[in-house]
Amino acid sequence: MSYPTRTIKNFLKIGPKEYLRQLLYIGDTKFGNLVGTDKYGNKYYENKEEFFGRDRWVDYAEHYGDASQIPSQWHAWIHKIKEHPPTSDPPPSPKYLSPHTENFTGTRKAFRTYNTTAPKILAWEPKVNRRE
Amino acid sequence: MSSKTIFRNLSFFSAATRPFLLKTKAHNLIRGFVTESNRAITSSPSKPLNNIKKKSTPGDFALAKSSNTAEYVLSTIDQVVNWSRQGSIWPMTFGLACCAVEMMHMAAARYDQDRIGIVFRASPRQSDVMIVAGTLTNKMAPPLRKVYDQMPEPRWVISMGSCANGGGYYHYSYSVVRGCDRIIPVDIYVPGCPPTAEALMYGVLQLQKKMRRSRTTQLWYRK
Repeated sequence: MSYPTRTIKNFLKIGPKEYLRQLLYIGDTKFGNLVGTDKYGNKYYENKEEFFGRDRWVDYAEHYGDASQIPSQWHAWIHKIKEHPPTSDPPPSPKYLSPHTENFTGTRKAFRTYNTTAPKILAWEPKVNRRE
Repeated sequence: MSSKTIFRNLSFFSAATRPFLLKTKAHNLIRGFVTESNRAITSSPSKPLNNIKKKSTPGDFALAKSSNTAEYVLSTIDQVVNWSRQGSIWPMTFGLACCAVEMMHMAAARYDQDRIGIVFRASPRQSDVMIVAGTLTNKMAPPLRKVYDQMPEPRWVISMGSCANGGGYYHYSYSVVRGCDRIIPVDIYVPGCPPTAEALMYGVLQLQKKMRRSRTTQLWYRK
């Protein structure tokens, strides 16, 4: 629940410029500690005084942010899988770990199904005799 | 699928824009880095498919940059049109089964579809998107098609849940259409049985992404 007092309090802390920016991107007035920044430039914030579910949030680096742009380490933090952020508690990064990619749906890199086996069904090609 | 078909999918840009595509360094909508592997994308028959590197970079799927003034103006018009379209999605609710309950959850206070401009409109004449939520039976298929035909252009379809995607649990039933894409063209498939409200919301965000990539006036001009 967004109390007017909370909004005013946060507005006084962050200033009008950041307030308008947050209205555009987050749709809320928030104030918190910058916990870290990932390699894509997404900023992660935390404010323990907010209630559960609203106390950790992300500020996307891109104009049209997408939840799949959050890499897995920060995903674990922002979804409360881990208590500590990967900056202070880095997860193991084995050699075989592939780099994180965002959701490619709708781009040219989107996954397309394909088949390498021979077709089992041979389509029937109808031939219609001309009516006389 | 033959290699020729894959090849066709890769040739997203027309031959007119491809020379310019090689020059696009800064204009990258996805991640902001473009590598030399852009040069590998070709559609001329003299250069076969094996010229393409196996690992493509995000620069490979950036939109083409406008090459002249008219295209620049039209791309700006397109951006405005796309922005207005993606900001006011009015879905035609086609709630058929339990997925519809999740669709209602998306409308309710927690996920609050209203904040991204989605308002359910129970009339096909005034809606942009149809959310097919639930099992499409043979009996319901003609009304579905009729409702889709009543929607004005441009129109999109979100197929929600495994029943609408491909029959799902009722795939082998005698009375169920095995996927609503047999009846109407589908833009976004949301998997799940039923998908969570978050999943449906993410599907809507993907549809917004698709809307942002549409180039209505530019394609008209190119014609």
